[in-house]
Amino acid sequence: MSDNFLLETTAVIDFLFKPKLKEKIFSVLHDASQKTTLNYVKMEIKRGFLNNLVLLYNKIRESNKLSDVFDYLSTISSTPLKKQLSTMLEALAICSREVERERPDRIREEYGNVDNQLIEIAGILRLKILRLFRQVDKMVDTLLNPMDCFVDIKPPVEMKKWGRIDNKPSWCSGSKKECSIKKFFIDNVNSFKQIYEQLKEIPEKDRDVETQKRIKSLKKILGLLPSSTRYFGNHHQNYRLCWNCGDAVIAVATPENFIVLNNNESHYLPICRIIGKKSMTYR
Amino acid sequence: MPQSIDKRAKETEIILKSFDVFKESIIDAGFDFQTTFPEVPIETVKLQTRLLGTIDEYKTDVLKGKPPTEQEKLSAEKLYGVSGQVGNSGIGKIVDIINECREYLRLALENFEEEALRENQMVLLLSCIYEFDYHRMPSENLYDLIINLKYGLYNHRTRTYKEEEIQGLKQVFDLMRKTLFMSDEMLDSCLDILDKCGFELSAPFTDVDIDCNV
Repeated sequence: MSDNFLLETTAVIDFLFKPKLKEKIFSVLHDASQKTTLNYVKMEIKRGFLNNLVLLYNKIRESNKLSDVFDYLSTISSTPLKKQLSTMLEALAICSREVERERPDRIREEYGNVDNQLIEIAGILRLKILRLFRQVDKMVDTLLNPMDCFVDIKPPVEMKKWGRIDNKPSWCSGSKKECSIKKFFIDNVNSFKQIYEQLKEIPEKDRDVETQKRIKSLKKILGLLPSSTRYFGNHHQNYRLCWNCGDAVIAVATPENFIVLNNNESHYLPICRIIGKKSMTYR
Repeated sequence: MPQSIDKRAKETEIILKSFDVFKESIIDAGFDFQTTFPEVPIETVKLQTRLLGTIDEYKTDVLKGKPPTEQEKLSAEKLYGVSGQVGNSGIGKIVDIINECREYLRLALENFEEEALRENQMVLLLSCIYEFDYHRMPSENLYDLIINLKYGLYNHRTRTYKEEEIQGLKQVFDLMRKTLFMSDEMLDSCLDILDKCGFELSAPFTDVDIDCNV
């Protein structure tokens, strides 16, 4: 009997952006009975990777030279974001230079050289950004949302007048007071407690940064659940707690008969084992 | 409101707006013409009146929901002329290049089993696509689609083509020819075709290490 799979956030992005990994994921999924992901995954993509792509696109559209964009990126204070956007721009720039080198001599002689590099890079990013959510919807059979996360999530929109892209809404309108995910944590408190207790046992020297954040955040979330006056949501300062333990949330939200398809065995395998879920890594 | 009726109403609104823009342009052009050549105002006014009357007739047909006959439907070629007639104009030239690309793809499909012949057509297709860069595109969506195709074809150069990839590309160029002013929906259809046939547009990101937690 074929398996059912739930794709976590990085698996979705790898499928859509990494042709080589796409082949690997496809070879796993092509026999699957059911493929699914979570609205929570879409939310993670929107507030993270997609936001970063939109920033890069808008800066490119705003600039006259590629070097201006690189200069701007070098001033970003978050090192991982700076690194990711610079690497992406560098890859696109290299690709565009290679494509330009292939311009046939006949065309070059007839019409001359062209300097479309920035426009072309923007064109590549534009279609990726505007289509990302549509592609996510197409790659799965169903989209689950057991925690009612960001129910009115929307893809970014193009402001044709300005030639820019806007990634609004940034926040879920259904979470004015607090996020419904608090109820999800309450309903699944035993699973989250088990994860917290077991992860806590990992010696500190063996914990990576994400695991450290996950343990801290789970502790804080579990601490505020019994209180009806301590709100938890994206309008409160504690909103990052939820994002910091995204891997645990995704594993808990995965239906019983589904396998979490992921690219990070060191995170997902222990979490899934603790709560009796299955994990598969495609790397 | 059902989606199809809603879509039809939107289309009608766009067509009617276009007619209004068309009428305004004729009135403006007529005014300019009469100012520049005051000796021929009567002929100009007659022509202007006739054109405005024809547009009003079309507007009435659109409001009545009368579908155009086959003869009335305009393809890009009918509208902008075929190769050799208005080939030097911007859009006419784009139609020419699209047709040249379609021809390479047609030959590649017809001779699919003749590997060298087929692959040569695909080499020519990539060369041809560079020519789009020198002509003003009628829509941003068409321009971005062409760019993505150019990068996709370039990154495909280390592999031979599968039949479904060539078929997908042919379908996309056929759609381009029909609708140069590519709507968002049409662009989606083209990209869906490319997705379905396995033609890869993500190659520029291959070596980028994407961390979703950033």
